[in-house]
Amino acid sequence: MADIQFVLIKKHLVMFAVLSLLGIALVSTSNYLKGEAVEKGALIKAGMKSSRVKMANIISDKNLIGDYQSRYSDLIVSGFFGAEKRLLWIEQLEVTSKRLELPDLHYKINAQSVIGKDTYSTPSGISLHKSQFTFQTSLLHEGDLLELIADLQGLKSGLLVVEHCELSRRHQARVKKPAKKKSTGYNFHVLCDMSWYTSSKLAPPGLPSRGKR
Amino acid sequence: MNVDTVLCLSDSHLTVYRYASRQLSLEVTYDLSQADSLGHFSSWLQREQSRTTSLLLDLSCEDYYEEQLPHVRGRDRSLLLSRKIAKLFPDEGYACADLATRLKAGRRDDVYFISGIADSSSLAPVINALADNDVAVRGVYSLPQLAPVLVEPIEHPERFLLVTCDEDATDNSRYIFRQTYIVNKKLYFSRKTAVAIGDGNEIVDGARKEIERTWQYLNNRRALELDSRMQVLMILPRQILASFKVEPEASNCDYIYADIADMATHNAYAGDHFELTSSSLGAFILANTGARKTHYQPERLGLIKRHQQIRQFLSLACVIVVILAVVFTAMNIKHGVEIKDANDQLASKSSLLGLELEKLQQGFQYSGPAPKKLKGMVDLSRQILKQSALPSPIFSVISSGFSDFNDLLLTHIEWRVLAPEGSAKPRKRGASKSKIATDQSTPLVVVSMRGELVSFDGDFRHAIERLQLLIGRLRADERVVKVVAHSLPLDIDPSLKISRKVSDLGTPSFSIDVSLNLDAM
Repeated sequence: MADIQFVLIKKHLVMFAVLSLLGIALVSTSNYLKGEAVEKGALIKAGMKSSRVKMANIISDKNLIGDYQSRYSDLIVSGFFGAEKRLLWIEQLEVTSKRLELPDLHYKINAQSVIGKDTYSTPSGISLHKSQFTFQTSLLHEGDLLELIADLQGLKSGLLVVEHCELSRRHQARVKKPAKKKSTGYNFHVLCDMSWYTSSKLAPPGLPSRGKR
Repeated sequence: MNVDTVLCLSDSHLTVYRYASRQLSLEVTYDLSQADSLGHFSSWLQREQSRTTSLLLDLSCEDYYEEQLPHVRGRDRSLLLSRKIAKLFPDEGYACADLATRLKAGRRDDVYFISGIADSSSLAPVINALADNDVAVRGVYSLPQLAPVLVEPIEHPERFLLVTCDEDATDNSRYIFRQTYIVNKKLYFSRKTAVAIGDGNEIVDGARKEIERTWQYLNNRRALELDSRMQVLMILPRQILASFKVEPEASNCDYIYADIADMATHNAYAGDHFELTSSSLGAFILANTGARKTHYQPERLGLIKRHQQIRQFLSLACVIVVILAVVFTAMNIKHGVEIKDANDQLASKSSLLGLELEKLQQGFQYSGPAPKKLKGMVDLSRQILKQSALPSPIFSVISSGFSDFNDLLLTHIEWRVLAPEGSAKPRKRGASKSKIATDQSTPLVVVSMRGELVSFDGDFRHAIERLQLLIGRLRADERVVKVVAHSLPLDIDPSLKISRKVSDLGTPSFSIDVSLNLDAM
């Protein structure tokens, strides 16, 4: 290398350097312009994707509203949203027992409890409450049970769920020994477990919860 | 400023020309017959060695050959040529071969014009001086080889004899004539002779004889069409041009006259007030045209070859760089244009989509709870109500099942909801647990029924058949998933032990579990 005379290759070296620089500049510029075009394309695609998502959301919202708004309104009417109306239940039980002549109607309403998220898939920001309600009474006819439950359902104070019922006849048929009717005349006895479900917005963090008493 | 040095070496003199700003100037002339001339030259080189130097040879000892070699390529060709050159010119580096043509008949050999210096001893002192002083020699050139370039600006035939004439620097009484025969712009032959001025037309006669001798030589070598006339391009100094024009031409020759000053003008020559000669014109052309492939490569000036290789490498690198740059740029531009077109199409689609979205947004005016919340709450209420077993549908199933079975009296009905696996499980109460497995995915209501047979006359077979008929009817109901009889009026299960009095006429009882599908009710 020491023998190399720069002056003899100066022109070629300079030309090589100039051409290299020019080449790099050309390729870089064209690459930059291509990159800009790619970037612009990506932006347009992102915009289109966003528009499509928005359109899909609007269509989905429209469908959801069409499918669920009426049922949601029914839920509002049914009293699912808001506090339980325990006094109303008790008043209704008394009215119904008088009407159906059910003097031995006995009921028990447990303290309202909050249902955990693992039981039902509750929407965020909503807490679900349940009041366990048990009653037992003698019935003249099984149709009285239907009326009693229909009266409770008509209260519009949440969702009434009949979980368990036990209906038994007071006397059983005996061969050649017909059963005497009791002096009271009530042929059936019923015991039912039910629940009232209501919902409310979750209390903000830091405020006392109303679920536990 | 680019400054080049051209050393013009003749048989007797070494002339140093300086080329700068497209102008040639004479720096110094060394008379090689003087003993100390090379010492002075060496000292001069030490002072001026930073310049780029070219060595132009105007010698009479150059030899010329025409050789036919087999048509081969690549390494074989170079080996063949180097063997031939080594045979003709033993001194390495003092020969050059030029492919003249390829024969059209026979073996179709290649024809090479080879020129060189067989005995380089006369050159050696100058070459040694250059090598000893580490002078950057661009190349060693032969003046006859530059002849085609010299005559390029004027019209000339394909084959012609170029005659140049210069005053002899060592003897004023004679002129040096150089005759160079050129075929298709390639040097075939060159000869340098001295002709005395003499009295009257002696110089013209002398020159004519030399030209006729050359014609004879070329005719013998078949370099000319047999006995054809030869075109002679006479480039002469003005002082003898007139006397040549009035005298007869050489036999078999046609003269074309040109003034060396006109030739210089044609070649854009610019000299600095010194006598114009064919060698100074050659030096100017050499310096003016820049880098040119060296004709000779003396071994001692090995740098020439190395630098040539570097220059070739750099030239190749330049070409590669240009090609790569052009290819990548073209590809980028092509892709860029394609992407831009695609972007334009996308942009128009996007604007259409935007309009569509705007229309949708305008048509969707809703104020209320979020639709997802609506769905969430409705789904939640459905989940909850799925767990409810209202008495009326249950009574409906039982009533339709027990119609026409007045001999069977139900004494106890109990029902509860069995949640499907993994979903809500309602509270279970006491001892009355269902005996039916909860392997279904929809919630089931399990109804446990106990009853008695009224008006039983002791016919167990009939009683059992009635119950089996009841079970069959219940199973036929599409709302019923499963019916399990837990006890019959008489337990006839082979796996059980049975013990009773025949006289025992107690009312027989039964127990059945019926699973109902809540979704179907």
